[in-house]
Amino acid sequence: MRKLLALVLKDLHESSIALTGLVVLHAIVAIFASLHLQDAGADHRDVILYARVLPIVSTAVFSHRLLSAELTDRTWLFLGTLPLGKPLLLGTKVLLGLALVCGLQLILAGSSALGLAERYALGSTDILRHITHYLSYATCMWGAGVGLALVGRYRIPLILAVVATTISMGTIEFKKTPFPLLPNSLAPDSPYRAWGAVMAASWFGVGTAFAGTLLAVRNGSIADLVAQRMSYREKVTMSACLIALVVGMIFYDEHQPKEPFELTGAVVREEDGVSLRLRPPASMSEAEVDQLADDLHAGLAGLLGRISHGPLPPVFVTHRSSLDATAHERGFARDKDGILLRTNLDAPDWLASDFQAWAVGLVLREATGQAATREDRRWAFDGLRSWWSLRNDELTSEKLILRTCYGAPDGLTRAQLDGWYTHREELGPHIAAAVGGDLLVTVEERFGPDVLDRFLRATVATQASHSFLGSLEERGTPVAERFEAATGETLDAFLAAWSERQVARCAERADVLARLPRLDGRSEVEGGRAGRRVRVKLEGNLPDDARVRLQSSRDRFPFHPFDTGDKLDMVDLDAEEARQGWALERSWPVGAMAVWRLSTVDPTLGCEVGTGWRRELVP
Amino acid sequence: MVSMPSNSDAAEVARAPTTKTKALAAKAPKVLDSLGSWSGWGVGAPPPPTAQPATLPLKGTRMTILETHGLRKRFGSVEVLKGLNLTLQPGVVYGFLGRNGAGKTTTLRAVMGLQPPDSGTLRLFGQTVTAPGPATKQRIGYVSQEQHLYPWMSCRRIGRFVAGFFPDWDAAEYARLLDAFHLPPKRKVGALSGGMKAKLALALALAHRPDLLLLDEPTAGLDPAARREFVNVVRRQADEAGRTTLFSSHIVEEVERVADVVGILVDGQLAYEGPIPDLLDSLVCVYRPVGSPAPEGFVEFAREREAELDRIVLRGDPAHVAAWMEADPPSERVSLEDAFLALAVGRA
Repeated sequence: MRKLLALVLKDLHESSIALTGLVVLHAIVAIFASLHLQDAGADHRDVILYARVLPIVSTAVFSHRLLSAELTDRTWLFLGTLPLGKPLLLGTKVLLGLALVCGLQLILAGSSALGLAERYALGSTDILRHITHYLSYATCMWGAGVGLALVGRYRIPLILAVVATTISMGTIEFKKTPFPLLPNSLAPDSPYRAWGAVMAASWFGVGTAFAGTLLAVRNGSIADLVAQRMSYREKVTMSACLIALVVGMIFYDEHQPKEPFELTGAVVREEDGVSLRLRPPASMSEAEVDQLADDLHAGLAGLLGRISHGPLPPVFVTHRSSLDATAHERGFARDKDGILLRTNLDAPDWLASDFQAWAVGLVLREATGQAATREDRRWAFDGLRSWWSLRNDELTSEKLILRTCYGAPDGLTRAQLDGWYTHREELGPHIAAAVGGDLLVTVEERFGPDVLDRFLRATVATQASHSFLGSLEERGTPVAERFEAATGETLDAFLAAWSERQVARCAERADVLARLPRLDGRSEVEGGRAGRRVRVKLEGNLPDDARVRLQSSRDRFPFHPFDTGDKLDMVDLDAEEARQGWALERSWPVGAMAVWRLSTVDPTLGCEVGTGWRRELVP
Repeated sequence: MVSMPSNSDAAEVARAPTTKTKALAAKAPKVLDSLGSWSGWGVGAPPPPTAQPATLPLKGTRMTILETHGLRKRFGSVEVLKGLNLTLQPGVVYGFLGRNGAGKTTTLRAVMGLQPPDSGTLRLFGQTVTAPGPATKQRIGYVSQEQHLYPWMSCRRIGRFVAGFFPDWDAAEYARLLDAFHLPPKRKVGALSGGMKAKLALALALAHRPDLLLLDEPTAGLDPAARREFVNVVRRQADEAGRTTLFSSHIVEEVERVADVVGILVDGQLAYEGPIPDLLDSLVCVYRPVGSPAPEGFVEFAREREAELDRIVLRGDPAHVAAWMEADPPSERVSLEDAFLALAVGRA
């Protein structure tokens, strides 16, 4: 005990300046975090960022001070002459470091718990969970630090290489790292991550075992060897290797080929760069299946021809009876190539055009490495899906015009186009697709099909570059510039002209538009501080026989362009019920974010219209 | 007969330090009595280890402090120790001589447990160990060739730190040693010269009153004055406290000054182990015409041409050596340095 005390006191004294600095830093951040979290309007991202970064800083400092420096300065040899076993020596230092890193993290955990307690009704269990998550994360970091500490002069190149390779190759999923232990929201309703303790123990155990092994192998001569400072030649070699790695990453632009997904019993269409396999339900006749396969194939192949995109990944379509007619689903086949689509082909109101629009979008998005759905070009992407699937349908074209007038009666501004995700949320996906589609139709009308194709090739058909330089170049060319290059007209001028025509067009349909419902809504909070309920009420001119859908979530961004809305709570109401208000499921703690939307299907427009997504903090 | 003043000079050199000569006069017979038999020339296998005692022997007993038997250590393709047999008796200062790279440091590090041997037996304080554990280390003081002390600590603080590891730490003795070595207690280790660091390391090694002091070329890099001072301290410790010491060096003069017994390490094995006078009494240097054979009854040890003659170092029975010198006055006594060179390099 006396020996351990001597060692601990020595290490504390040796690290006293660093420790003091870190305590001050943590205290400042803790005060900030506590005040920040008490603010009902603030989110938790900044606090989480500090909670993630500071243990890394502490780990870097103490793993160097307690372990690496002893070897680099060769004081480890002096310690070796003292009557203290190596396991005890390493164990003491590792546990001391753990105590220091976790102690510092505890300052943050405690302060944020205080801040959260002010904002939410936190119980002792909530606080304990919160602190456990913080400490588990810090333990993981320290475990990694211990493991790397004895890699000596190679630890920094090793960290850089691992991080660079991981980012470049995408070999590690974020959720498999310790970072989700500190999620972006610290709201007390987030689940307890029991795996965090296991992960912390594993990281700590592996790190310590690795360090112990390095000290044991050949009596620590390897650790001693790598602890010495780099020679000039080694520095040059190491720098060259790192530069080569970075250059390799920059120019790396190659997908690893995968085996295609196998779909037995499927109808196959493989022509014109499109490989489609459709496995229908038993209820469909052979002729129906052939027709559907031909239509889908023609839709994809025709689009491919117009935008001159290379071969598309193989597309697999399967039937799933549990889905709604309009709710299509993306499937994933692990380590297999291809895009797996699921839809309910048996549903009575299933529409081929609707599915084709959805499928075209998804396939294009995947084929371009998601470049097609970047926000600045998302309007064109939405428009393409709508325009392509409905391009030959004259009847629907009138509906599309009505939809555009419903969504953009006064035209559009550049700001709306540039911030399309926000605007799209307000309009709803169908109206947004109609507006985007009409913009494309207008381009085709004014400049001709070739110009439209050129513009589409330059935007939604552009492959995302996997290389750093390619990515920079790609992102460095705004869509407005691409538009002008394709059409010869500036995007602003085009928008002004379109808006002018839009106003005129909408004026012609003013009567019809006046009869269309405009949904509005508001939320009210009921109940005490511990268990609040959020009630959403419909406002606006909706007929009594209309059905209203209320979607809600606690996730700030609960939906994905192609998901089925699994994260959403959903309820269909009568108009009257909606006016009376409907209490959302579960209780809502103070400061939680209530995300909701009211929508209805309008027969005139033939699509869903709604309030847009509302995000409100529970007061 | 030609008088050979150089003979007496050589003898004087071999026994130069007056303080040590006095100490040896008092100590050596006792040591030799207790040992009975030095390994001496052509070091063979020492007696097999005795049964391991149940507990560590108490301080003050007179059993062998350190024994190595067949110690081997290899670094890659180089075998540094090739079956080293070494015996260190209590109260003795053992001068461990060898050229650079002979394996002195490897031996001491093996004894200290810093670099366990590949094979062989190591006995410390009568107990066979693979590497000394904490309890054994508490009885050893170790000073390495280079001092890797914490530069931010003051002399006093590093004493307090090391004291935490030794129950027998004598703070007063440490303070006395600092004072004796002229080491300012408040001065940072980083601000000490190489010689001062070596003395600080010696103070740290001595303050817990070790039963065995291991000194691994502690004077390397010190100036002559500092080296002399260091050696004197070691000798004084041996004389006053009867400290058993293993002092490794390649500097013959300081070993001669400090050691009762010498072990000469050549190519990973001891070429000689025994009292210095025994070594010197068994060697004689003769001058013979170039190419003449060694005189009968002697083993030729080294030969070197000097002008028109060969200078030959011969080994023989001490009585035979003495008789030869009577009969052949040009013959010379051999200094320890000559003996070391003859053994280690083959130079006469």
